[in-house]
Amino acid sequence: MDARREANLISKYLIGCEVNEKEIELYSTAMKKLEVNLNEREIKIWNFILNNAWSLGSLDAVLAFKNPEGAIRKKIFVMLAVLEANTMHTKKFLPIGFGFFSTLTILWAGMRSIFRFLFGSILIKFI
Amino acid sequence: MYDYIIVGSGPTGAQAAQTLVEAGLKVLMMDAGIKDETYRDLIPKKDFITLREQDEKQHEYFLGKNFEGIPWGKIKVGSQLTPPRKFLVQHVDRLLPFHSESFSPMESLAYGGLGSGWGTGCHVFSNADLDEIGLNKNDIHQAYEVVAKRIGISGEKDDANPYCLGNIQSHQGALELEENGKNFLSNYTRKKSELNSKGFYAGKLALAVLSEDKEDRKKAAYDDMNFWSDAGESAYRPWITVEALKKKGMEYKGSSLLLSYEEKDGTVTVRFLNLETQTEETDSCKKLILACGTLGTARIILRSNKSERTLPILSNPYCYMPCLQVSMLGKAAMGKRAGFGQIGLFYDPQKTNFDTGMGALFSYRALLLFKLIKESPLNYSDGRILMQYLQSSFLIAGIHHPERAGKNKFIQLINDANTISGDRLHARYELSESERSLIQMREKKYKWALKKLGCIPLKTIYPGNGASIHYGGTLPFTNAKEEAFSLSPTGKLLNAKNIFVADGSGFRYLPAKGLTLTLMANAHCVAKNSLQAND
Repeated sequence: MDARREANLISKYLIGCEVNEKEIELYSTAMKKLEVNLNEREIKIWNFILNNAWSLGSLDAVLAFKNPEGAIRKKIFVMLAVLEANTMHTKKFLPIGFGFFSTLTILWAGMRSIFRFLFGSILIKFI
Repeated sequence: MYDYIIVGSGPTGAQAAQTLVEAGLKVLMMDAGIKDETYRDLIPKKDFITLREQDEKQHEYFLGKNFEGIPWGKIKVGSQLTPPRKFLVQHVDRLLPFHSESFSPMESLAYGGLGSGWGTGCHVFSNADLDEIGLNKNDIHQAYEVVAKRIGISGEKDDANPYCLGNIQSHQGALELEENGKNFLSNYTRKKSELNSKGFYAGKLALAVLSEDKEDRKKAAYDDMNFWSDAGESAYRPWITVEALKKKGMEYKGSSLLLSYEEKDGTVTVRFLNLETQTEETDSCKKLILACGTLGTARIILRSNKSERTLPILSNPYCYMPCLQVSMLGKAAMGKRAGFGQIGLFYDPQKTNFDTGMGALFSYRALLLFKLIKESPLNYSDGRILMQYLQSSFLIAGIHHPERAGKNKFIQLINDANTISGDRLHARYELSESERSLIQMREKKYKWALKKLGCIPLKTIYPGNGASIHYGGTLPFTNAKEEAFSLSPTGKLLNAKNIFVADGSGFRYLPAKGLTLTLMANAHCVAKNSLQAND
């Protein structure tokens, strides 16, 4: 497992930036301690994601329905937890209020999640 | 020889012990007494937001040193425990072997028992509740006052009062409400007559949390760290009482797992496993009080009597409903908060304060956003964006239902040579059709009421039978003189001379309202009664 590559890939997907050494180490340790092991099918999908970073959102979206408790989702989830428990990213996780412009952000995220799901449903058939 | 041995340092053991120590008796308290050695001193004494913004080591306690704070898989009882609270269930699988396809209880070997993770909700039971349980109402009402003075309760006399403080005089003022709670009660006030006409009453819960300093304990710091630490000891935990009693001469023996007892010639001898040396030891006393929790006590009594008979088991059916609180949409709940569920919504259509439903409402912030994101059906990236905006408007309603015995609700101790105790507790738990219908009806009513109160239930989650962490009824109270595996209303085990049970084992009925205050009141009564019992 290339922890650096994986951690950066997932972090850029989740919060739009790469991670530091401490977060890479935490992610790597968590993968070992939580025994996150991919099955054959998941290895195929994960390798595709590693080589095609743009696909992560769509495949995450479709796996949220098809295999929500699978190992790929678990990898992303663990990275999400690691990011949240870091002072550098606190502002991306603490509550924020919303007005007109942030409502647009919410709508955009909602629409994008639908698009990701639809695209991911097609994409996964080809992997 | 001790006057008393009390087994269990949880809420009931602590209260029974205090009554006896104050009466001048020589008391030994024993249990496994597992403590949190990992996180207790790791968490700085600051509020949740400050820690999130400043502590570089927060991942150690928020996620756990072994990342045990990152839940995955099916929701099960205890999965909400944060890493600093995981000690509550440490070693339970190995030392309290249990098996069931239909029942998933939470047991504890912790110092302070399950009380070390208690939500602190305090509820006075009505006379009808107490009659149905089999308790002496006059004794229990007096005991409520005694316990309230000891542990410190904060509350207010509002519409929830009959189901919370009742007539308790010894209480401090209610804690300040957080934004979600204020909004909720404001909606309730506006729609009160309609809700009351349908049997719904809402108000502030009485909590075993200080709103004023009491002796060495500090008032609530509004640091929203209740799920993580007990800084200031504002929330009552039974170990606070145990520590105080140790200073008054009570002996305490931790690392001791009681296996069985034997009563002979006016002496009770207990056989226990010393968990440090892994050797069996014995101690003797004139009177034994079991306060191990309903399941723990059942194990010990069945084992001591070498019985494989079944015993009834009661556990309040429970579900929780995450809701979207419309009036909080667009707001960021960043203010100080006590961090306890402070609002109760009671369903009492007959207005008799009997067979009521109880809803306890919690807002979401201190349990970390990633766990909430997981509950949405979205990809994690967009889920994070949405949940960050919406998290302040989430309110979780935990709904409890009353519980009675049933023919398909029982436990049994079966021999199992592969376990440390040589046996394993089995359970079967199945609701009857009529119980299921009643529960569904009640939950439908709650959904209606929540919507009226501006909270849209998003789904209903059933964490499984036993998830309420309220148990009772294995040794039902009876007035019969001699009945095996039953308790007299004074708490005495009927087929024994000097063995008493201070936990909920005798409760023939479990109201939906939180049990702990009544368990403690009963424990005080049992200890008092045991002083008067003839040898």
